[in-house]
Amino acid sequence: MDPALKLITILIIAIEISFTQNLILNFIIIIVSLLILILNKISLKSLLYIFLVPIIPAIGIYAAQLINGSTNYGIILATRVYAYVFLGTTFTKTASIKDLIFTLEQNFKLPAKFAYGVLGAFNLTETIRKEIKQIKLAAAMRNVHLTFFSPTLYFKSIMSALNWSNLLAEGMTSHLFVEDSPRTHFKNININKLDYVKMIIIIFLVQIVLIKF
Amino acid sequence: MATLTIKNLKFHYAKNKIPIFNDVNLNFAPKTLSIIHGPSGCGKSTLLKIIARLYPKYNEGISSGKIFLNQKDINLINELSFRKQIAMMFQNPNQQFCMQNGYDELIFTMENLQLPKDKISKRINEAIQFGNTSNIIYHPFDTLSGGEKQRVALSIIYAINPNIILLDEPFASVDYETRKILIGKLNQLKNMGKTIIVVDHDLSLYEKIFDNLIIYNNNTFKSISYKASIRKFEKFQISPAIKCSIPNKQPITLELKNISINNGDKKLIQNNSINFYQGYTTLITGKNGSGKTSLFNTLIKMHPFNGEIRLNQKNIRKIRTAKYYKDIGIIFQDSDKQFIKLTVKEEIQLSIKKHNHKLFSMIEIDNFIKNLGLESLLDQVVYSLSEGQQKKLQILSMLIMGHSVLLLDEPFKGVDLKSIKVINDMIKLAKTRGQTQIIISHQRYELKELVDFHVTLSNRKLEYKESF
Amino acid sequence: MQKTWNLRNIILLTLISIICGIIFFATGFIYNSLSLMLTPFGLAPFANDILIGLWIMAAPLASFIFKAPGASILSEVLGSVVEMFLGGQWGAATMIGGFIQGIASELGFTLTKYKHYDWIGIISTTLTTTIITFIWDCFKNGYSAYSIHMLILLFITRMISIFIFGGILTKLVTNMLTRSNVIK
Repeated sequence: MDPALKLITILIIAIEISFTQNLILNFIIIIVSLLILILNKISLKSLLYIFLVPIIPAIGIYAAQLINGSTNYGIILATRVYAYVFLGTTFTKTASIKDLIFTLEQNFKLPAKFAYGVLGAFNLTETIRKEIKQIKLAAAMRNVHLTFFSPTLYFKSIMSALNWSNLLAEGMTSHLFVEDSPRTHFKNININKLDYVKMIIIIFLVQIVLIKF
Repeated sequence: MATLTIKNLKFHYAKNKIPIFNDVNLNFAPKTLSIIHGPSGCGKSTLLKIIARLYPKYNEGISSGKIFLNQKDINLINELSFRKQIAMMFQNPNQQFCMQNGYDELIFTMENLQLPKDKISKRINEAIQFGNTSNIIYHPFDTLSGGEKQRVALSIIYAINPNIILLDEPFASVDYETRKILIGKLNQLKNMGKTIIVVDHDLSLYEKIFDNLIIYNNNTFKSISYKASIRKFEKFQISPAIKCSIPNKQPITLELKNISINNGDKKLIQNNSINFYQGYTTLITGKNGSGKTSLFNTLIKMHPFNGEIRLNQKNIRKIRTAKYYKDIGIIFQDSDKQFIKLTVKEEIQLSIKKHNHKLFSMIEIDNFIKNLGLESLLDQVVYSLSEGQQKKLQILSMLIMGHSVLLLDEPFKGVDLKSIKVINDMIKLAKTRGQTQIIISHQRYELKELVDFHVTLSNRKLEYKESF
Repeated sequence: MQKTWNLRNIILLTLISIICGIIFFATGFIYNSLSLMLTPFGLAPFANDILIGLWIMAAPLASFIFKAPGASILSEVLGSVVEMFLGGQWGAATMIGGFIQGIASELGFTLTKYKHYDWIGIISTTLTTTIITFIWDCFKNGYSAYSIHMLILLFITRMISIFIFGGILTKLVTNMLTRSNVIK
């Protein structure tokens, strides 16, 4: 399925479960996502990760409703946390940011500067992570300990981002990227009509579950 | 084929009226390779980026004068057709790719070039063949070494097929063997009729293929005669060695036992042991890409290693980081990364307030500030200083901290001769007060009075030598 | 700045979101321990509201840096796409949440006609962000079921958090950037 349509489908489902209270739908989403993930050969480690990571917030929100709200609602909210995470993981494990951005550029008229600017920045994430580590190190060597509360940490990180955004823009420009100039496409990405049908069916099924249960 | 002509080019930053360079008049003909050579901070990279029309677009500078490409003012050429004629390779290999691997980046570039779909594959294959990159082209960039990334970058330049090729310190993170290969490729490109302009502080291996050497002098860039160039090359190659001694039973501060360090797949140091001695200055030299910076990163716990490192007999893996960084400090190559505060004064005062060991008295510090010429700059924002001024401030601030071991990565980059003497005095004074120092530097002569021992890093081994 | 949303600034904006994301995720253990401590009392939502300011900080920061319409929304939307692929733990909710937070913060600057990059702008964006994200959490996190006392406390906590991180901290960071002549 086309990554953009897939994302839209998932977002619609996520919005629907945010505004409705349907335990069965939450379970169906979790189970179907799980099946898709297993079919896509998700590693045991990632599987364990998505089961464990939401556990603290899920229990927290459940306990909050149990003590200060309503128990039934608590179960819905706790399963909803899992539904969000499973929906999101189903998307990220079956689509890459590159494919999403390519289809957005070719089929949804996303300007190329946004498409490739975001992609370039995304690929700089590791570099930025290292820079933040280095900023903390430089401070530690002066006996200054930077935390998420320190303006200096953000300031220095933004200075480094500023430098990198200039460097990358220079690099992309010299690889002939000119804003608002037409480009050819090595791989034409067309959305299969069947993908729209799939999307409509999935959303339709969600409505049926919502009405029937 | 293209000729590039520069007329009366001048450049200065918006905040600073003094020009970086002035009256630049140069001519670059097809089928030639020109080298622009000069000390760091003289503006040679800036010159290149102005030619490429990247400046003033991506910086705050102001330039006047004209640049012509085949007699046409470059600012009057449509941007895309200009970019098709002029390609650039950058010093930092990480800055030139927006995609995840070389293959995708090649496609990205060809799409920008508006090459029809059916022609892209052929062009890409030729480029991969030229750069000899078939074995690395699908690998994610973050698994490639600096040299491999530059080989990919050269493949992309070949695919663009420009008339003019600019290279900005392209071999800064490249090992000697790769440098040899890449310079060979540049020669091939030159013989195909390209106009090639390289900015490099290192002249080695260009001798047989260069046509034109351009030197920075008196605020301008000028081409020098063939004879004078050859003298430059000779001077660059043979500089007499400086004698030093080999350590002998001095007290050990830092002990490296059976150390191995890799960078991705590349082995940099293999199962090697060496000691550094307390209260002495050791210079580490080695060719580009041999692993000097990775060794420093290992010593500050920013790079993984195998084996054991002991600081004052204690395994560094067992020392808490906060405690560890009180004992070991590093002076980064990029000065601005060291700064924590905004103004020169704040930066110095922070060090005075937070020092670990008091190495200098207040009077001494005041004298250093005066002698380094920082006195009139105390209220200036550190980021508005020149490269040399930043370096001086950075070294002063780190020396005041009084770490027991200090690592210095290219401490004289961009610093003027007079200040080098002051910096030498400061570093020496810190040493006589007990600091252990390890330096990486390409500039050996400036270090003459400072260095006690010399270690080379070559063939994955660290070894003490009797001269440097 | 000639055109605000040029290539350089799009990269910068995305990087700012990524930076805020990296710093935020590094505080994951604070959220988790706070949440665990509060769970036995049924007060875990407070962990969420205490830290929310840090979570939404990219938006006001971007607006203060670029001083242009769209900065808040773009930073949150681009940031949430990137964060989802970097393995943000909230999955699908990240994107919707990002969009809502972006609008919420942006609205504060729209109401002050994109002229107040000062304390008035901060107060305005703090209010719009607090109100809109709170309404969203009434549905998404089931706040609507809590008693009025708890709701008031949650609302105040959230407002303080957003004011501290999205207001004070953002202002301090932009002050540093202004003093070093990086932004006007």
